[in-house]
Amino acid sequence: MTDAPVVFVVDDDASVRSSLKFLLSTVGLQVESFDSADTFLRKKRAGVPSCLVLDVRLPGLSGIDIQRELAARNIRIPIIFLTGHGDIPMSVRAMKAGAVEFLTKPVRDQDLLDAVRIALEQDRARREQEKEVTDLQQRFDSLTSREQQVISMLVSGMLNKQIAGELGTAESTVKVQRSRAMEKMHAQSLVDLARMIEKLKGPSQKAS
Amino acid sequence: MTAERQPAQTDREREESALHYSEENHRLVVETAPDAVISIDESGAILFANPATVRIFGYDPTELIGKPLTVLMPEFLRKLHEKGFSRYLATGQRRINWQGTELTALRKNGQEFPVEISFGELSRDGHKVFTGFIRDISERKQAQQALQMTQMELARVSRLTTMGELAASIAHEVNQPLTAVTNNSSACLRLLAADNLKPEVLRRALEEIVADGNRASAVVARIRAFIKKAPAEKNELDINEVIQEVLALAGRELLENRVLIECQLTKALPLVLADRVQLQQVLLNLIMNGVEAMIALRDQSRSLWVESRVDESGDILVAVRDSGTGLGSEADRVFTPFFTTKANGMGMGLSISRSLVESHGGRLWATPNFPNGAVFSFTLPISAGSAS
Repeated sequence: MTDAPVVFVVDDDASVRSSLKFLLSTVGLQVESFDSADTFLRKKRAGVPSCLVLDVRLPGLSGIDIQRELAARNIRIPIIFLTGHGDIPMSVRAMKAGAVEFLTKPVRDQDLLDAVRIALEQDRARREQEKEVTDLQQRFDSLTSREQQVISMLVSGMLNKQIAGELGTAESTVKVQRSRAMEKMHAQSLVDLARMIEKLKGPSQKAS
Repeated sequence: MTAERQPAQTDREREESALHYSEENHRLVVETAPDAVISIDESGAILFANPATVRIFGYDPTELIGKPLTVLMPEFLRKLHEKGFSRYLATGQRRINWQGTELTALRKNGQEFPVEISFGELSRDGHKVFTGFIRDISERKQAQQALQMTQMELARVSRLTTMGELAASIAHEVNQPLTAVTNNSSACLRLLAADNLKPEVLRRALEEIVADGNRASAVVARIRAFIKKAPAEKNELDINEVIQEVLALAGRELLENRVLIECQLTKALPLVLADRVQLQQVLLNLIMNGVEAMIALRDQSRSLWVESRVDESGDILVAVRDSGTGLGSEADRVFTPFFTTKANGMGMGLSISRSLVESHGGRLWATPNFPNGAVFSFTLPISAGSAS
């Protein structure tokens, strides 16, 4: 696949950065590292599965600040925190805000690699889901407004006859509109269509 | 102008009148004094007690007449008083300060309380009468203790804060290079296991590991230098002053543990060039060790002797001698860091004390005391200014 995942590393310490890059490279991961929150936030990221390995203690914006900033910008990249000292209240806050893992430096290699694998998997799944929703939305947008009306009524459980009555058209017209909409949506069955509409209603409504 | 009109008094009349006035005046002073005023004879029996005695001791003056003075003392002081009193009567040798000695007294209801005592003697018909002024200093002591507690608590908190901050900073600064070392090593091991470790990659990783190892050790060296140079502010000091300060500081512990301090401080000693706080730490440590060594003693008197003098080589010598359990076979090991005979001791006190004394150019050592207990002695060179 061309979608090679990327691990972003943010740590103010050059040795730590290069050693993390080296360690992650042993499992074939691509790493991009940054020395501060600012440089990372300014960077344009490609649409590939990625995760962030973040030092809690950073000059300027802290790791926790970056987490908050990313959430505010609706950038949902999984975060693995590294900390120099086991700060329990901070780790609780980070985990509650959705961090994948909170690891204490010096970190065990396997712990870090496991956390990175889980984070990338999470991000891949999320991206796939988002892509599916975007595709569905595009298909839905390609329908005429009458076709959109018809399938909305269909998935709410109405029969062709009832829809025709409601819209004041012939039942045969509804049938044609229905099959055309099903085709445009790539829906195999009524159940399939209902699942698609459900997905469109779900997270996409929150994001918009 | 009234005096001019009065008929001339004879010398004798004037003398008698003056004497009468003086006696009246003395009586008034004694009757109204806020301190207890008590006189005893040579046998230690109470001859007189003023009204303030009721308020302070709870005894009516009439109850006390004829009773031994020791009824006003806690058990642990009675023998010492009798010994000292008879020694004085026999030799005229004073072992305690007659003007303002702090001691523990006993109320009628059995309560012990701190007092300050001043006394004098009078000879009448070849017999000695001793009169003492006894002041209840409970309130003053409580205020002092409260102040002391606050100061000690402050010192403890600030020390803890500094230690805590230092620890957090060490954790971060040492952790960064350690993290890099661990990551680089782990990466090499992984490549090695996969038979994919190229010499060039290994060389670069090892170079980084060496650099980070050096970086961590530099952090440790910096911390060590910081700890070493932190306090040490040397001034010319009178060691006796420092001893008195520490005894005042330890006053509460001494009183609570019923330890009697006997000082043999040589007056007008040459000054030493030293850090006051560090010397206080050393002395406090030695005194508290002595106190703790005597806590186990049930029926013997607990005495701690503190001595200061110039030793044979011209240095100042301070000795703290206790009648406690002694060092036994552990004498050599007490200065070893983390060695302790105490249930909740750190084992750092004597080790730190020794290095503090040595940093002043002195020595600290322990010897057994006879028949029991231990003597901790240290020397300090006298300051150059004091020597000339």
